[in-house]
Amino acid sequence: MLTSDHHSCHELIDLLNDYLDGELSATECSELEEQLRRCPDCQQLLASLRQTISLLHHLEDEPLPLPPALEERLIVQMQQRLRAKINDRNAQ
Amino acid sequence: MSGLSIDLSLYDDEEALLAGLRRGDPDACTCFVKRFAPLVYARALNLVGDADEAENVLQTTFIKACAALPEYTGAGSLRSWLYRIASNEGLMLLRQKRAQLDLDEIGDLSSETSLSQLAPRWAVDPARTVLDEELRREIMQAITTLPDALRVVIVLRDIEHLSTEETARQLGISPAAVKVRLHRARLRLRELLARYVEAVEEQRDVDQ
Repeated sequence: MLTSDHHSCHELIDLLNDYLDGELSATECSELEEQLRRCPDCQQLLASLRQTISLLHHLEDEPLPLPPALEERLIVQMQQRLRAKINDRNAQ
Repeated sequence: MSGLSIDLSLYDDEEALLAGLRRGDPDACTCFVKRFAPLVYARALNLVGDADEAENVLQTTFIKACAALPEYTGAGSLRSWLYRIASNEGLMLLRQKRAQLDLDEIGDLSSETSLSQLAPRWAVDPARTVLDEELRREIMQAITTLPDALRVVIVLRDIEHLSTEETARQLGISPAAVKVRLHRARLRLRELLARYVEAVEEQRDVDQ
């Protein structure tokens, strides 16, 4: 249960992620939103947390270039392994 | 060996790529690595937080993928399949290294939760919602500095989009522990990114 005085900011911080993840009940949501309206610091914190999560979501399919030697090694390894597999199959 | 510089659109279609791999076409191998390895490498680095270990995870992932190709049914995308193998490999590697991804590792957050320290004034320019290279590097760097126990949770929940329950199952911890770790990880990451955003803003002020 949330309280509405300013000292409960800590309590509110603990709930912000659940709020952002949609894991609070409707009652808890309205209480939290009520408290947010009265605390600009908490509003800013919520906004920056939301932005942090959104930045993380952008990493979902973000490629990272491989060191060229590693890429070449991987390709050669794969070619050799697949060729060996096919040879094994043909030999059977 | 077939050239490493080839037209990647040669195997745009996943079914054709799979068929090429199964008949051992060298160009299919090159396309497969060029297309998917940078994605898997990024995911592995986010998860294990160390470039050498990420390289190991990447290599093992591709070796396992090679071995499993004949049985791969093509349900879902190749990319998701590779991510799943990489995630399992990354978590296994972390477990071997640190007998248990222990909650103790996440440290005490009490000193970090004061509002003054969490203070507020940062916001990435909304125009940067598409990550530029510098911001991407900064976020990945910030993730690698998190303790293992926090990093794996934030990667599974916020990058791989697993649910709280799925993350708990993967890590062998309770859903409540996942929530606590996620909360701490996001706050800490937010703080790490705040330093970067503030530094960029200060630099802009100096430049103007």
